[in-house]
Parts: sequence; structure tokens; C-alpha cells
Amino acid sequence: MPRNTHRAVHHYRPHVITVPPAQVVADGRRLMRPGGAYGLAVAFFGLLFLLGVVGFILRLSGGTEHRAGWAYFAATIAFILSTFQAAPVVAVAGRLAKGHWRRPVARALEMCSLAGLVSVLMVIPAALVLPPTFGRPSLYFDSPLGIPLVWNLVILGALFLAGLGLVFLSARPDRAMVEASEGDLSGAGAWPGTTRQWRVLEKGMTLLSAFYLMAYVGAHTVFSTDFVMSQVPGWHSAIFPALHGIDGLQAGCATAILVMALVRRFGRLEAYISVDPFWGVSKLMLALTLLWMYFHYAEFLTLWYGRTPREIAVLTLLYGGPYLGLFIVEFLFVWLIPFIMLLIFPVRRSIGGNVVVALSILFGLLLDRIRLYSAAFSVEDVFEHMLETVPGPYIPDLVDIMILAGGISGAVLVYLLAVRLVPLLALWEVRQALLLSRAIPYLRTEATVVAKPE
Amino acid sequence: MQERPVLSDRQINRELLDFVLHTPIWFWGVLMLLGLVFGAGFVAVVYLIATGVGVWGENWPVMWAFEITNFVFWVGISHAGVMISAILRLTQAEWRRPVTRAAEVLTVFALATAALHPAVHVGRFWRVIYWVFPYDFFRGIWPNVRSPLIWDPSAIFTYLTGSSLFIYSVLIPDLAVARDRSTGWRRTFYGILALGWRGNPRQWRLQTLAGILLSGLILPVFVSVHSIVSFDFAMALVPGWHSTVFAPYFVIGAVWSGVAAVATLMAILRFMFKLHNYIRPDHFDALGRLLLVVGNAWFYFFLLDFIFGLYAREETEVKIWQARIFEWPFNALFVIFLLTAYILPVPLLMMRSVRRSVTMMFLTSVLINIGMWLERYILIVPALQYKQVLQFSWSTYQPQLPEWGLVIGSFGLVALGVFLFAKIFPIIPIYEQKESQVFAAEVKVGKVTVPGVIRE
Amino acid sequence: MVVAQRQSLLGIFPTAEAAAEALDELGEKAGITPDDFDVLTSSPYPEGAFGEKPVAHRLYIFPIAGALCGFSVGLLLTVGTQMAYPLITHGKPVIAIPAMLIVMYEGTMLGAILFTILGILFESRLPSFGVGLYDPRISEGYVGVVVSTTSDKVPVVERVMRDAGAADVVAGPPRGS
Repeated sequence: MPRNTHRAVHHYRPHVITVPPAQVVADGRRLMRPGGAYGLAVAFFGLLFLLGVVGFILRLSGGTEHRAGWAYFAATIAFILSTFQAAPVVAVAGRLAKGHWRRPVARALEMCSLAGLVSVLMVIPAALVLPPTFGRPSLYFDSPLGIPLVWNLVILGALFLAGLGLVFLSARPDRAMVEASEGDLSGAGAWPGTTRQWRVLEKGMTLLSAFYLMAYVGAHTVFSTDFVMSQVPGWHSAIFPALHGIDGLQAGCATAILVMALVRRFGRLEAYISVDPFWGVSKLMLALTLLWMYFHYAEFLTLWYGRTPREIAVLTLLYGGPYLGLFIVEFLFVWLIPFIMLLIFPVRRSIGGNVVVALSILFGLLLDRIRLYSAAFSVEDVFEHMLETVPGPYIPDLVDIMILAGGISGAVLVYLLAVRLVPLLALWEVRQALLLSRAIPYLRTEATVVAKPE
Repeated sequence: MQERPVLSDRQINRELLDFVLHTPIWFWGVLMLLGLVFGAGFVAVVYLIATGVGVWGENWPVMWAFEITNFVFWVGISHAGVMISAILRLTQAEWRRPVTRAAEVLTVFALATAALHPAVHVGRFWRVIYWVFPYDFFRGIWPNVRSPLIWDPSAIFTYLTGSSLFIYSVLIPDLAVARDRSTGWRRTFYGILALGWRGNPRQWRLQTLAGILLSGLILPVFVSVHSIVSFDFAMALVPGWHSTVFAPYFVIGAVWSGVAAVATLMAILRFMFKLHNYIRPDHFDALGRLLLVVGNAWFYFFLLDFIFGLYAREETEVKIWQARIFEWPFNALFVIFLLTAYILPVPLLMMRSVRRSVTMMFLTSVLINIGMWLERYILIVPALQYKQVLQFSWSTYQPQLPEWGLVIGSFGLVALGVFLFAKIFPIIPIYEQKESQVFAAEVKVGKVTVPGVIRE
Repeated sequence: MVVAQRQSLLGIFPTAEAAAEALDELGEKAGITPDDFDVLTSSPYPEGAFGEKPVAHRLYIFPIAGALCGFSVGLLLTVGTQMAYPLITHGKPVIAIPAMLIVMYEGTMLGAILFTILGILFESRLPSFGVGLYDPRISEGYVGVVVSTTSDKVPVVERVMRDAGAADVVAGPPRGS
């Protein structure tokens, strides 16, 4: 132990959770019975969701011939896929890489996958609006099995179910713990917490995590190809599905930052969630911001370099023509501001700075999805060999805004309702952190030790 | 990491400096063997320069074949260093410690070997110098900075310089140990290179920061290098090459082959220098798990290239894929490629027993690199060989002996470079091994003591 | 006025704990503060392990400066070449910005890396001519404690170090303060 404390040097050390185990369970119980602002939030987002439903009915009543009118509907699904359904990837990646920082926030992030219910429901009418795949380039090569509705339902359904499995599998011990602490031991009987049960749980989580990752990649590949690329004649870009996914991952990190900040603030979890998870995610966010530029530049340069009319028409539609202004604003918010801010170390290692960056990225991604889907849905003749006429910009009406707001609110609503079923804090993971990380004296300082049982 | 022998600094110094400070008899035998292999390439290049590019099998329209395949292959291998060293340093993965320097050295020599290929395959390479710098204003020999062939040297030069300086800057503490443990001319030599290193907290703090900062800087360069190499193909309007996915596809392929090459190298080093205390089965296990993730990511990008190559159902693109998959000899090569690059290694890597077996990891990693060499060949040659519309002459490519010599010689050159480096400098970072002992800790959980690590 | 001479002593300790104990004793009995000592080790230790003062540096300036220099060189090279040879290739403009970005980017990164290396050496105070007060046993696992004090305190410091278990204590030459 230090004898001369005036010589102790204070510098940053990884946070160690020091909450007593019983308090962890009590906090989990408190989180499942939220009050105050929770009710207001449910009411607010519920109302917006209902407005969205009204908007959908109004749009449906206008028919499905005018495809451009469904652009915002598809963009909403893409936004949810790229934000709520991408945020769990951060937790999943943390789990697969065995990073300790994920423990207090893993459940809150994995619960974002439940918003996939909204995308699964929304994809049904969206897929029915798409023109037939026969006679134009698509993933299905004119096969009779090439029905976008089926394949999009399958892949989005798989993604949602993987997320659902992740949440409820990992919540099982927590629900038993919370119920037992309230005197209800019926759940604890099904989960006494034997060694075998824990091994099966951890194995199952690893498998589901890997499956979630694969489903995420598949969902972006299928959805982006069917709803964007295959509707633009002459656009054959092998990188676009991956680009759509990477943009989603960047926004997923931003969503994760926002969710962690809100959960920390409104769940009063300051003792659990320090700046460490924010710092960890922001490094990933910086890498993905750089990758955003990389993927976009790779696609742009390849299409631009040869100067063929077919490819220049595609670039005009997506970047330099009707959506130039939108792209410039998008570029500012999804790349320039985050890149400059994230280069600054104090921003990366702060909660407020990361939240500002996250909001910028989310706004930029929203514009990106609007740009892509408006452009794709505006093309009149999808059966041409190349884009002969670049359509003008699609200007949204009130119904589009209602649908956009309603869809996103629906996703938030699903999350809020799930809060009452599953503790926001992964109690067993946090209690594992209590066992596996300690602050110990080291010579004349204090050090954080992280155990590596594997 | 459950296997963690407790080693004293003295033992670490002795074991890791043994090959540097003492020369076993087998050193000369291995040196001669590697020299012979390299010599095959040297002779092939001298013959090429003396006789002309006609000694190669390239002819219109297949102007790029073995040489560019080998070039792309070695640039790919060079991605190992940054992947292992930079990313694992940034994620504070403990298992990187014995692997980083070997991976970085492999990077430098693989990249230097790759850089020789463009020089060699212009035939009269001294003419290249005319238009490099300063610009030859008087003869109108102008560099086209808009061309990927100019982007290539800028990227390779940046990566090579960065990697070399990275190796040197993190080698300084080990050079100080070599200085302290040697006498005579060796002491003077290492003393000069160690720059007066003492090991005070300032210097160590800067070393740690250097590792993190340089890792962060070199990572974007690493991504750009193989992307720019891919642009040699993607920018061209050659059907089968003109694909937007080439940049990430090549990069992830480079990581796949590069990390496999590191596994091969680690197995060889462990065997050659008896480094069983430092290169342990758990390191191969971790490398194997990394390979599993990278291999599947590579396969995703391969599928993207394949599916979206056929997506538009353009006749030429379809014909080129048909040539790659169904026409001799590419059909056989394609089958071997798929088997060796994905179908065999990935299931093997999923087995823990394979990942923890040094022999099996060595064999699996060699398989992967055979497959990845073939992947580049299959990508390049059929697209050129296919008779396009408005193409009035064509030929079938057959590699000639000088080309085989060049390829074999390149393996000799890289192996020789790494071997000589390991003779002059410690190939396993000494201070990192000592640091792992300092930062090792234990956490008592109930009746069990769990190994842990101090995190900063 | 008599200017007190300063002198450095190097104590070699067999373990890190012994060195830390010695530093505690030096602080109590000889008034040695973190400004007066330095610790020499063969591997990094957790920050503050010996009670040393935090390392202040400005390393981050170097990559920024290097990046700016490299960016300028890349820009000049690409723009200059294209203006020197204003040929249209494949329908691209004379100053083709998308095609220039790669060389500019590589120049930026090369500048950043080169300046970072210079910064690392500069901030580490390397190269230094000679190792100064040093012992090769440090690379064998011994911990060296270098104390700078006034000449009149040298016997006290030496005695404290030996009592704390130093395997050896070496004094450097006196120097004017």
C-alpha cells in the first residue's frame, strides 16, 4: 500500500463497478418498473406511431402504382435496419471479442434488435410495391422463386428472431433473479443457475451472436439490392450491399452511444456505465466513419473513372444531379463533422462529445436513406438497359413525414414496452464483472485487473 | 490465456537473444538453401533483362499474368503485419506479444519484394527512373497522376516507409538489451542503433503511445494500399475486372492470406528457434479464431463479386465467369482455389483441436495461401484471355520458365530477408515479453485463481 | 554566493518492490521529491507504479503538422503534374480531383507518420550521446533508481539506498546546479 500518498499519481484507470451484488438486482428491479418520464415517452411515441399508421393508410389508399410515394416508407425500414438493428452488433462484437466494457450496456443494446418487429411488418407492403423481378437485373436471375417479399421476410425475420433470442436467452437468469428478489421463486426454479446452465447459456449467446451478425449482413445485402440497386437500370455495383451495411454499422454505433447515454441518464446507472463503453464505441465509430468514406469513394471512383454513359447516369442520379444538395448536407453530418470531432481525443473519451457526434451521424444517415430510396423509387422505367433520363428530385409530402416519424416512433415504442419485460441492465453480466475485475494496489499506485477465465 | 509460464528477465534475454548473439552451425546451411532459392529468381531476372520481355509467356492480350499475380500476392502477404500488430495493439489483445515483430518484418520484406515486380516487369526498368523524379520536361515523358499505376508506388512507398519506421521505433528498447548483453563490435553496433535508450518512465510512456499512435496511422494506409492495387484492375473497363467491390475484396483477401502467412511464420520460428515458451498453442488458437472471422468475411466479398458480376447478365461478363469455372485449365484451378482457400481451411479452423495444433495450423495456413495465389491468377488471366468484341488478336497464356523462376525466387527473397533479420535483431519482442510478466495478475474467485491482466 | 553542486546517484535494486520502498525512504529521510528521481526499468510498468510524476508531452502536435505538410506536398505534386502536362485522359478534366485524392491522401499519411517518428524520438529525448548513469543489469530485470541531489546529501542518499537493499550504488560526477 502507498506509504507516501502525496506521491500517488492520478491518471485514468478503467472503471471498476463496485456496486454490491444485492444492489445490482435491486437496480434491475427498479428498471423494470419505470415511472415519471417513461409514461410520457410511451404516450408521445405511441401518438406518433398512430400518426404513422394513419399516414400508411392514406398512402395505401392512393394505390401502389406511384412507386415514388413509397420511397419514404422503404427509407424508414432502411433507417430502422441501419440504426436499431445495427446497434446490437456493437454488443455482439464486444461479446465475441470478450471485451469487458460491454457488460453494463450489452442488454440495452441487444434490446434495440426488437425494433426489427416494425421492419418485418413494414417490409410486407413495401415489397408488394416493387415491380416484378422478371426482365431486369436482380438477385433472383428471373427465377420463379425470386419473390422479394418472401426473401426479405425470411432474412428480416431471421434477424429479428436472432435478436429476440439474444435478449430473452440472456434475460432468463435476470428475470429469475428479479422475481426471486420480489419473493416469487417460480422462475428461479427453472433457473437455479447450475454450472451446466451457465455453460449452455454462454454457448447459446455466442452462437446467436454469430448468427445475428450473419443475418445482419444478409439483411442489408438483400434489402438494399431489392429496394435500391435493382430499381436503377444500369447500376451494377457489387460493393453497394456492403456499403449499405457499413453505413448501418456506423449509425449502429451512433445509436449505441445515444441509447447508452439515455439509459445512463434516465435509468440512473452512473455507477455502472462510466465513460469506458462510450470510449470503446467511439473508437469503433471513428473506424466506421473512415470506412464510410472508403466504401463510398471506392464505388464512386470505379463508376466515375471509366466515364461510360451508363455509369455516369447512375452517379448523376445518386450524387451530382437532383440530390446534390441533399448529398452535400448528408456528407457534412455523416462524415465531415464526425470525422473532425472524433479525431479529438477529449471528444472520444467523453459522453457529451460522443452524443453530439452520434446525433450528427444519425441525421446524416437519415438523409442518406432518403436520398437513396427516393432516387431508386423515382425511376419510371426499371426495365431499361441503362438510365436514359435522370428523374427529378422527389419532394416529400406530409404523409411521407408521418410515415417516417411513425415508423421510427414504432421502433422506439417497441423498445420502451420491452423495458417492462426485461431488465435494461444485464444483471448476470454485471455480477460477473464484479467477480472478474478489481482495483488492486500495485507498488505505489492502483491498477485495474481484468480476469481472463477463458 | 491459461498457459502463462513465469519467466525471469534473464531467461527471456538469454532465450530471445540466443540466435542473435550466437551462430549455430545450421544457420549456414539454411542461409545457403535460401540463397539458392533466391538465386533462381535472380538468375531469371538477369536473363529477362539481358534477353527481353519476350522470354515471358505474356503476349497480346494477356499482358499481365504471373508477375502481376505474384505482385498482388506479396502485397497481400504484407498486410499481415498491420493487421496483427496495429489492430491487436489497439484492442490490447495480450496474445499479440510474440507475433507482432515477425508479422511486421514479414510485411516489410513482402512489400519490398512486391515493389520489385513492377520494376522488373517493365523490362528495361532503368527507364522507369526517367519519369519518376525530377520530371523529364524535355522529352515529354510525363507521369499520369490520374492512373492507378502512379497511385501504386505512392501507396507502397508510404506503407513500406511507415512499416519500416514502425519496426525500428518499437525495436529500440530491444536494441538496448542487445547492447547491454553483447561485447565488441556488436555492442557498438547495437549501441548506435539504440540511440542511448535508458528505459525511464518517459521513454516507456512514449513507446506505448508510439505503438498506439503509429498503429492508428498505419491502419488507414494498410487499407488503402491493397485497395489501390485493386484499382489497377477495377479502374480498367476490362469485363471481369471492372467491379466496385474490388477494393474491400482485395483488402480482406490480403488480410486472409497475410494472417495465414503469419501463422506459417510463427510455426517455423517456434520450430527453428525452440521458442516453445513464447509461441504457444494458445497463440495459434487466437490466430485461428481471427482467421475464421476473416475467412468468412472474405468469402462474403467473393460471393458479392461473383453474384454481382453475373447480376447484369452482360454477355461478356457471363462468358468470363464461364471461362473461370468451366474452361480448362481454369476449371481445375478454380476447384483447387475454392478447396484450398475456403472449403478445407474454414471447417478445419472451426475445430479447437486443429487451432491448438501447431502442425495443423501450419498446413492449414499454407493451404490458404496456395488458394489465394490461385485466386489472383484466376481473377486476372481469364478476363484478359477472353476474346472480346473488336479484339483482333489473342493468345492463350502459358507461363515460361523465367516466370516460374521469378515466383520461386520471390519466396526465397522474403524468407531470406526474414531469416537475416532474425539473425541480426530479436524476432520476438523482448520488452513485450517482460511487459506481459509485469502486467500479469491473478484474481481469486471463490476457490479458483483466475489469470488476469492489468489494464491501463 | 556559493552555488550548491548537484550530483546523481544510481541505485540498482533486485526487485521493483525494493526500488519502490527505497523511494519511500528517500522521500522521508532525504526529502527526495518526484522531480528529483528517475526510474530505469527493462519493461514498462503501470503509470505511477513508483510514484513518479506524470509524463507531459506534446506528441500529438507532430502527426498534425506532418499531415499538413504531406497534404501540401501531395496537392502540389498532383496539381502541378496535371497543369504541367494538361492532357485529357479518358474524358477526365485536366485537374481531376477524384483521381488526385489518392496521392494527396498517401502524402498526408506519409507526412503524419514521418513526423510522428520524429516526435517520438524528440519527446523521448533520443538520440542521446551515451547512456549516462546506467547499468547493464537493468536489462536483466534490476530496477535502477537515479536520484539527483545536492552534493551534501549524497552520503545520506547512498546510505538510504544501501539500507533499502540496493545491489549497488554508483555516483555520477558532480556538476554545477
